[in-house]
Amino acid sequence: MTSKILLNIPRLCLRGILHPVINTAGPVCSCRHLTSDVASQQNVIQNIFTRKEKDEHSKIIFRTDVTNPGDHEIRHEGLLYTIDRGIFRRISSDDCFNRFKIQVRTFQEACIMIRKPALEVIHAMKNFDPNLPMPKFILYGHLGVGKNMTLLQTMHYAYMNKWCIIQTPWPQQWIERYTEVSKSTHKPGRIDLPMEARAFLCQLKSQNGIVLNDYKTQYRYDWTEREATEIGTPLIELLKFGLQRVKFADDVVGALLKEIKLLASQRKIKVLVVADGINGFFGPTRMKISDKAFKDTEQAKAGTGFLPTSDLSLIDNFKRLLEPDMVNSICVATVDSNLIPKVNRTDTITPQYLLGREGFAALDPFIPIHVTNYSDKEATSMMEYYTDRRWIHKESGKTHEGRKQLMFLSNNNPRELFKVCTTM
Amino acid sequence: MTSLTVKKHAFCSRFFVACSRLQYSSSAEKVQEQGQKENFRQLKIVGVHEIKERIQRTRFQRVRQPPRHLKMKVDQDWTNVWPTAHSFKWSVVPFPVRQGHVKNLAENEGMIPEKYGNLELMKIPNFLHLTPIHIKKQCQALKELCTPWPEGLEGNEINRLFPLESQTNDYCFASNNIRDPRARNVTVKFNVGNLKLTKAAKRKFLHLVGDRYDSVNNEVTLTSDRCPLKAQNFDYIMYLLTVLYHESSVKEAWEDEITLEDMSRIPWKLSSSRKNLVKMLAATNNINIKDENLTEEDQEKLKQLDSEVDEKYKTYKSTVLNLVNQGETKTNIENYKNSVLELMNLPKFEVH
Repeated sequence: MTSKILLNIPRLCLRGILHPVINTAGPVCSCRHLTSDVASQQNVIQNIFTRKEKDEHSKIIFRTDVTNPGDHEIRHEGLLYTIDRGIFRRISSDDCFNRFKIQVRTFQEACIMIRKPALEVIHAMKNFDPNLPMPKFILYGHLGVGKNMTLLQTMHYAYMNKWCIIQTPWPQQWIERYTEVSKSTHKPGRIDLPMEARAFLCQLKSQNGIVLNDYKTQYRYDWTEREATEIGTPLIELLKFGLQRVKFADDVVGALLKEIKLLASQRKIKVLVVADGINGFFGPTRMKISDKAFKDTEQAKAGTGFLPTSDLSLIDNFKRLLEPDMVNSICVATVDSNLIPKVNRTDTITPQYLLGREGFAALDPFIPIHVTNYSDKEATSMMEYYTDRRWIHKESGKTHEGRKQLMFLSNNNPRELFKVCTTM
Repeated sequence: MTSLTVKKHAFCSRFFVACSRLQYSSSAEKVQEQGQKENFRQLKIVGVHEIKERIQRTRFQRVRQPPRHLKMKVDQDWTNVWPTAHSFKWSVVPFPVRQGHVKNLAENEGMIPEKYGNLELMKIPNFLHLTPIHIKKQCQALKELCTPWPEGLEGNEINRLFPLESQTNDYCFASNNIRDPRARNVTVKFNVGNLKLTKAAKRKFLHLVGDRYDSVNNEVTLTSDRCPLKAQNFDYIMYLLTVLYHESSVKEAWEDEITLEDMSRIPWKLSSSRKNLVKMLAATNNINIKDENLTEEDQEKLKQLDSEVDEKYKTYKSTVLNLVNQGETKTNIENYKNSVLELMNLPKFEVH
């Protein structure tokens, strides 16, 4: 019934029977919350190119009211859905999805497009074998193509289904833009990044408040002669200890990950490991050993060169999650050509090339997923959203010809499309 | 020049006088002899003697035969009509053909000339001497000269006993020169498997041979046309083959120092993927590889897993090796993805 009504809207508008902006209640509540049979929506979107100038302002359906990512199906592809802002704030901690956060602030809502790569990962998250080692999904694609948004959608699914989310920051945070360096208290030869570890703990806390509250430690940790964490302490207590005693933050991260791994192997929780730019965690860091920060460390004896990533206790702890004894969990990661030094950077985006030999050895067997530019349908849907949010303001941007030009200018690349639409 | 012609003229007048004299004397003699012999023919002069009219002999007139093709029977043997290669004969060919060019409608009434006396048809080569019946007949004739195919040389056996296969061409045509420069080309094919080469030597051999190697049927094709004669070219290829074989068997001292990083193609046995797969299988069977004090049972199981890996996960093995060694093409990545999904027991995401 709804579909019939919707399909007739433009025609009714033309005849002057119906006003173009519909604000009536009922199945058609308002233009930006239209819901209907998706097959008809697709027809409408496909027909945009055959439309004449007359009905250029007719609305195209670009949103869906299905906000639970678990309920999305392939027929929702190309539509946008809104993430609850509270949930979004919890999922996206300090230093990730920065570009998207600006957009959220501007548009006053966290709205992302349902796209095929994310649906593919979520489909696997619903149907994976908990007894087998963790399947690793590696998203690859050109810059600005929506790899991060795919991560966000999978994280949203995980959050809604009470999975434990372990998300690493952009690796440059750990290998290049670190603030403080100290020798490891746990294992000699390792290097701690206490402030980064603290930030990581904060993120863990905001993303997994419920999980950490419910479960208790199964090992005993001795920090100093006086301080120790007994068996049976809630994990949140352990985490808070790390936040208070920044000196031990790296070790607390290690302990927490160990506990989470154990819980997963006991099938108590499911774990989603998210890593943006996972290829940054392999190979050398950008830390010069000759730097005076490493003056007293064991690495300083080796002389010059860059520190290997395996010497950082944070990265070492994270890499343990990728080992085959991690079960009942899924890893979603992206590979990014931005992390390769500029001298060596090429246009290649394929995962094995970007991971390098070391990374490939650590992650293989993984499942590569290609994230591509928008299809015409998706681009149209996105521009309709921008028009709805008044991001496309000029009349020329709303016409069929104008949209065609915008798509041409951006080559259907999501980030470029956003940039191009900025001037409209 | 003029004097010469005058002289000639004088000579001529004198010659005629002499002749007339001679004629005169001879006629006088004839009159004398007439009385002696009456059998002699008389000189009969028109008007003096009565001359009978000469009997006109009927001349034999040749009847022009119709062209041969009109007299042909339907069931005739064409091989007898056209036994060897011959340029086109309009009278023999029993079918209508037209060949040539007319410039405009006025020329030959705009029709392309038919076969009668058509020079254009004679210029072009024809295959009227190569009909299936001709070939059958010639093969039948050649059969007497052939020996039967030796027994036991069917199928692969012939490739084993005669690994080299050479190809040459002979050119036969009617011309003032029977040589053809193309006749000197020699092509030799052989299967690389027939050469006794070690793995390293084979790799070098293939490097040296380059694009002459066809990986589909494992064959190498060597061709030569650098020498003027066929036999010389064949000898040169044999020389090439010998040199290639011995050169590829050479082993340098530094070759023992090769590591995984130096290898252009990563072998499965040494690859990280194989190690990861074994680790993964061990983990699913609850064996902790890092544990130094493994029980004997576990160790045996681990060994068994290790030996089974190559056979059990063939698709994964081939797709990984393709990905690593051939490069990351779209199909290679897709195949790898599918094999890993299968390995991980994950359902495929299908779009209806």
